[in-house]
Amino acid sequence: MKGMALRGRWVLLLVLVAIAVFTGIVNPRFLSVQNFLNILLQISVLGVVSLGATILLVSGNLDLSVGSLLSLSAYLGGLVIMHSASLFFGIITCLGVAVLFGLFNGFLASLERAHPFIFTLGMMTFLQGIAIVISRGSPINGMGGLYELLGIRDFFRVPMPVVLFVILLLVVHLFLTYFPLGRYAYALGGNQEASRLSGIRVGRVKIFLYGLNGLFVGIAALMLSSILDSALPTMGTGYELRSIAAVVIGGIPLFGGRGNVWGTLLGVLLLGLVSNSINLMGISANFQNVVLGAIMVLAVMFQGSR
Amino acid sequence: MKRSILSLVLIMFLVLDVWGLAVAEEELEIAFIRATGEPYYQYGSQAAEMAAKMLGVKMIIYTSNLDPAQELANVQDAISRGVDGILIYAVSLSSERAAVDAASKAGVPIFFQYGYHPDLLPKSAGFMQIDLKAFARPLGEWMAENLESGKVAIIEGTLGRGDAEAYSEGFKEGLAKNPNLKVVAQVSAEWNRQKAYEAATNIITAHPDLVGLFVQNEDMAVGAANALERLGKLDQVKIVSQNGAPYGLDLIREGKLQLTNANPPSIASVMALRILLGVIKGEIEPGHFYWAPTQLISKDNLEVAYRWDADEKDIEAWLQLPLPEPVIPPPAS
Repeated sequence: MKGMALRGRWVLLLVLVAIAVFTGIVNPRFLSVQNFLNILLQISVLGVVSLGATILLVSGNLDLSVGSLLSLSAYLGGLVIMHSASLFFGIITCLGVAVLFGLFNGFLASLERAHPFIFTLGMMTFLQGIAIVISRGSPINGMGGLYELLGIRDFFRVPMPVVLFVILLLVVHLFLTYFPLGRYAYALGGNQEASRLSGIRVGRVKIFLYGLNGLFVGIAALMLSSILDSALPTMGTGYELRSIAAVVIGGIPLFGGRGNVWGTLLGVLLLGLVSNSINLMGISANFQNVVLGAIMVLAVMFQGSR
Repeated sequence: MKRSILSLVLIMFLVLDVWGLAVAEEELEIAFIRATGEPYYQYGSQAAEMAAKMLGVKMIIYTSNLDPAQELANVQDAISRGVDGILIYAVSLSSERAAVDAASKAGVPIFFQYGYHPDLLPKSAGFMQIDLKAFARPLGEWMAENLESGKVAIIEGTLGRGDAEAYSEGFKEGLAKNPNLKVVAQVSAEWNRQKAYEAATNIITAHPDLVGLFVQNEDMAVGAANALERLGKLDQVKIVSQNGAPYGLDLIREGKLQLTNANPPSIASVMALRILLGVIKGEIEPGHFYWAPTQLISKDNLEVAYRWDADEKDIEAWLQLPLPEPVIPPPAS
């Protein structure tokens, strides 16, 4: 099983290289350092959301409300910055709201009354509704000092959101590999009942994992609103499915139990690279979704994920 | 295996990089970034493409899928591709700062057809858009003048981007000229025909004596008109809408829609392209604001409406029209 996953990852890497080489032939500007930095910046927000999804999917859980939660937490953070002029309180609000709703999702998951697909779908609609009620449709223009702090700042030419994504990638790798709670996540995904019988407090682990997922959503919200220097009540739409797609392409099965962040990194890279390649090759916008969808299907089929 | 793959990749990249340096620049190339692939943007990009061809300019079309992050990615990708200018139908009323900064840094002029923000105007090639509230106001005024009294409803687009809310506000301002008319329902159908059908059915069930309906685009107006026709209420309820799309003009021709305020994406995109090209060539000063062309259409002037589905003859004519004059921009959208 492990050998198959490893082979799948090499195939995915080859697909990435093939796309890069082909795009480079069609438009040599693709190979510029600036373009690669662009790709990394473009995937950084999805990457952070996908890290949270990785933790949940490994444990056999998922969260469809992350996109709405991203919108709501970014908007509330922006509101606080706008009214209090305090960047610190804005950041705390954004992260706090995201963690709070993450923990609430975890609480619902711990009750085990319904599959996470169902109740997080409900939460998705609920949170999106709150964001629209609070905002009354008006976006927030200007996120105070957040733009300068994160949005346009570079670290040795590497955009700060990319640096943050890489740091979080390593943190999640360490968490899943060496921390007891990380190991419990695999155990839950492998066999929840066996985990319970072996003494793992399944409910508490779920609450923690969903809370952690919320934290990643909050960080992603800060990153996205800083990059765009604005907060829109619908800005997170679509992140829930793209993050799950990236994780599954990366080799984590929907029922959990195996996989790691390196597969997720490849999945996120594939989505970002394909989108960038299509644009640089000048493929007509009407065909872009056809190409993107076909490559995603092929990647998953070659990967052998179920 | 790992080593051979890595070596192969390295060699290919080196060869391509050298080859890339030898590639010469050719004709002017413009990126047209549209918010979605919906008809409004499709017709806009098609007209701009036709105009670009006539002007000897290459045009690449990108779609942002209403996602501000994808919009920024498209701008970055267009710059990486080496385009000479960017024409963009912005996703929202904000979130363009990063796009403007990226384009300014790369020295690529960027012209916006939506999303005006005063701070960004000086850094851009220009902004062109309609005044959302003022656009919907005449429709409310028409109802205020043509309906004596009674209940009025609004079917709105997707809430959360600022535009649907502004349209409702503008319409109500116009409607306020007749105090005997009252808005009794305001339902979002998310720019969707099927949802508008359902919304109209629900509204008329709740308010069988409804006399007026403002539907925020004609795609939804088709659904609403069908629902009212099925329920036998089409003669009782007067519908007004926005956009001037081909199917909207058909509704007016059939007498199902009384009035529409058109903002044809076709002529707007052609004008925007011409201004952007003028900025690139140094003939037009960048950083100005322009009102997009609009046209109130009823049965009386149906035949002279600017068509969304413009043909080559229309485009040729629009290329000869004088360009819109810059105006003093509104304080904020």
